[in-house]
Amino acid sequence: MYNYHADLIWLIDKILLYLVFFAVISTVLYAAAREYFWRKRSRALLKIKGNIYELALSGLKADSKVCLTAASGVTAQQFLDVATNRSREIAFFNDSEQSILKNCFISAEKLVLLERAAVSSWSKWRRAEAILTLGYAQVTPALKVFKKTIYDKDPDISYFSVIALGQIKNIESAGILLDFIQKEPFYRYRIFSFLESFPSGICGKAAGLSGSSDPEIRNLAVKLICGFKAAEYSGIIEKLVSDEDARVRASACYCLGEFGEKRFSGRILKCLSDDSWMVRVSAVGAFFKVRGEEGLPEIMGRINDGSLAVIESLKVLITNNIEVCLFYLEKFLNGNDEMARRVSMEALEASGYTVKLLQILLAGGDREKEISMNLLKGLIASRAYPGLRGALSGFPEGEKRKLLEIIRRIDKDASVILEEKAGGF
Amino acid sequence: MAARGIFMAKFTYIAFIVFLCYFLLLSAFYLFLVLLGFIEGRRRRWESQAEDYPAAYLAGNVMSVSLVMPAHNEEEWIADALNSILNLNYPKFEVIVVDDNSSDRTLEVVNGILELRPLDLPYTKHYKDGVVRSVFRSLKYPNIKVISKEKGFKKAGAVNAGLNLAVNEYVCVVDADTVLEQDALLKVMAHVGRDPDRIIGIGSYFGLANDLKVKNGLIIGKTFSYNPLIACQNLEYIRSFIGNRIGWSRYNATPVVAGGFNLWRRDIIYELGGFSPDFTCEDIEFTFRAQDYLAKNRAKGYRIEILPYSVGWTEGPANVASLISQRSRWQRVTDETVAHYRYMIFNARFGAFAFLTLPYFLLYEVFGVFFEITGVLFVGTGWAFGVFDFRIFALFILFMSLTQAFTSILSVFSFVRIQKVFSARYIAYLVFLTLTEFFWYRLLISAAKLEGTYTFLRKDKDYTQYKRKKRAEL
Repeated sequence: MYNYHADLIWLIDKILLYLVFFAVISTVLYAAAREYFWRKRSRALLKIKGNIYELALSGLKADSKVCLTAASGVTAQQFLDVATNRSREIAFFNDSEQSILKNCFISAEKLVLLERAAVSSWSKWRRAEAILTLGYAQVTPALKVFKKTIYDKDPDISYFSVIALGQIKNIESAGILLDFIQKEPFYRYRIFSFLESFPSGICGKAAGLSGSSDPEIRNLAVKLICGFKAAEYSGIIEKLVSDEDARVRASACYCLGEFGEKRFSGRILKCLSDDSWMVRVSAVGAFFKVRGEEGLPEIMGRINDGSLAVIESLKVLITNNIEVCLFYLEKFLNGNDEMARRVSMEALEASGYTVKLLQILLAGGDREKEISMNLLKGLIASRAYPGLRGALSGFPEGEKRKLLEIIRRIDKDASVILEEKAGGF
Repeated sequence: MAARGIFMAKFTYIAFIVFLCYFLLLSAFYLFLVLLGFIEGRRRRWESQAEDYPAAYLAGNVMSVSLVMPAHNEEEWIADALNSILNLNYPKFEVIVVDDNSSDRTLEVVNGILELRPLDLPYTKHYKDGVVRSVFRSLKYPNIKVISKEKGFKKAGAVNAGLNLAVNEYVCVVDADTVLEQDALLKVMAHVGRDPDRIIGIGSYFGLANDLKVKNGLIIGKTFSYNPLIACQNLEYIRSFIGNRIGWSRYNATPVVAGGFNLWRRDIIYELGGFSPDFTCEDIEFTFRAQDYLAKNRAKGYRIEILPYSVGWTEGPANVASLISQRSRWQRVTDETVAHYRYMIFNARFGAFAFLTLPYFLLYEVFGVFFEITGVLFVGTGWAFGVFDFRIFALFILFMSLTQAFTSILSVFSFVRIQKVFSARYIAYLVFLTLTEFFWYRLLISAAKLEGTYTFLRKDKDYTQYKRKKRAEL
């Protein structure tokens, strides 16, 4: 009988037994401890919340100028709980409650300690906590710290610095963030989403990025200026309509539309026939914004565009402005262009106008009835039965009969099909 | 006779050493992954706590998501799943529910919630999806569409049908029996927002919804099942996500973004041609294909990531037959995928995926069951026929069970560190199960894996839905 390395295996088993025993005890104790500390943390947060209420009840106005007496005893972790609402299942803090704590939390002593920890703590997570605390407390003097930490070789520290800077919404912090995206390709998207809520004064700095060699940065700069509707920078945007990168041109065209001034019509009209579908997609909406109904002939010309995305954007525009587009829908539905017919059907359906069209046929004015009748003829000729079926299903039985009779007069077969299937969804 | 005896002695010795080395190697591999998961989990926890979610939510450039929910005979579950989507804290999303030829009341239940009307929708079929009967829109929620399709192309076909209609920048595929946490999409998309140019696919932890208290799609009580069969599955999900996948994710070597909740950039799905109906399931194969795409576009630095945050809860098998049916299917699709993408193994082009993930997959997921069963049988029959001392048999079994228990407990520990989901009592129960599961649960899984391998060899590709227990009414 063989007894291969039984001693060795027993030794391994013994080590494993100790390890398992230790792991079992540690895990169970750790889970219990976490639960205990969770309760403690909950109590502490509720106490902070209670203090803020007391402050309000004491007759003092609970605004950002009034300090909580207990604020100095709040830990960085509790501060972050309040400032980020990350423990909102325990207690939710609204903006004014947060600002009371934010204003009182940082003392001169704490500031020095936190700044030191942010730069030189041996523990990465202590650094992260210090950076975030300084950021969420909106400590402007800490910007000099973030200027260094944002370029830290550890990507997490760098990202936490971005978040911290995103809380201090002033021109200087925007400058640090915009400098960062020029040097490092990381977190651009997040940085721009932070910058959207900064004061509009940052547009000047953003405009400076329009000459960047990186098309993504130029694109984001346009979007930022556009978000603020900063028309004073329209000259830069107009130039970018001729940018070499299609995404930048598309954003610039869209932006000119957002400015909504007729003087940009010529530029946007050029975008409508740009080589890139992305630009044409932007131009469809933008041209309507600056020219309104007057611009429809040029816009509707894109119905034969080679790109489905452009046609899709046209469909969205028609759907959202269905009443002013009825003339074109009538034409499309009764024409021979299959795509134009499909777009019209879909727009009528998505806008809910199919139901309105049927209502007009029952009780509308003569001119309205004429347009609706033409549309209905077009829908039937296009065999838009599912849409009509859905629309008919919402009518009471008597009205449905009348409508089916109207349809029968247009196309007998269609009324038979719709009658069979007009039961509901 | 003597020569034959010596040969047998040598053979049994070598076989014994091979089995021992296999289990040592596997344990070392797993330990390495658990430690990686531990480090990565801590990092993600910090990120999640530090993230400015309100800013991510309110941002004008918030990225849009199309949620695709394929459903086949889900009348019991779809209401909660759909309502949980309607409750999501995310500003920009559309939902496409795909009824995949359900023979039960799935479509009626959906209609009851959404009030459907037929819709004439011109669209281009980019992906294989089979015959679409009708498309509906919701009268109550303009951002929801419903597709009714005929049978064909499995779950992949249903997902593809939804993809054909999806218009947003990202697509998130969610199972129709998965109840999402309210912040699920916000948390995941905030992470994507850190680097949308490079993160092309992402998944996150989800556990079992059995015994969860859900009302109108809202989770009103996080109670978890103490049924050992279900609790062991919860343990397995923890082991898989926390002790395994987030470790792979650190090295951009994720082998699977689980089908219950997986989010992909739509342009990448388009480039990859959608989900493939040629495999038993679609998720693992698609992730492998995405890894192939990553390698072909290495310069772009694309990433597929797994997060540890709990994003939702899915209904798991509540009895042995269902469990075996589900796991057998998982094993089959693993075998199919690894066999199909075998060219990636130890191919330098695929980096860590080829040198870490795939060897582990081969060792553990594909051939693991053979090693485990033959190892136990070898030592067991050796003992029964008097070749081995009983001590060897007992020590060997003890060794196998302890290595598994140790790595499982470490995964649970890591999980507890990352988030507070389960109570301390439930964690203690899971820890207790880690000590016992080897002697029963593991055997069930091995049986399922064997069946899965057998059906793979038979080239069986059926997708059988396992039976689930009805959720209690609240």
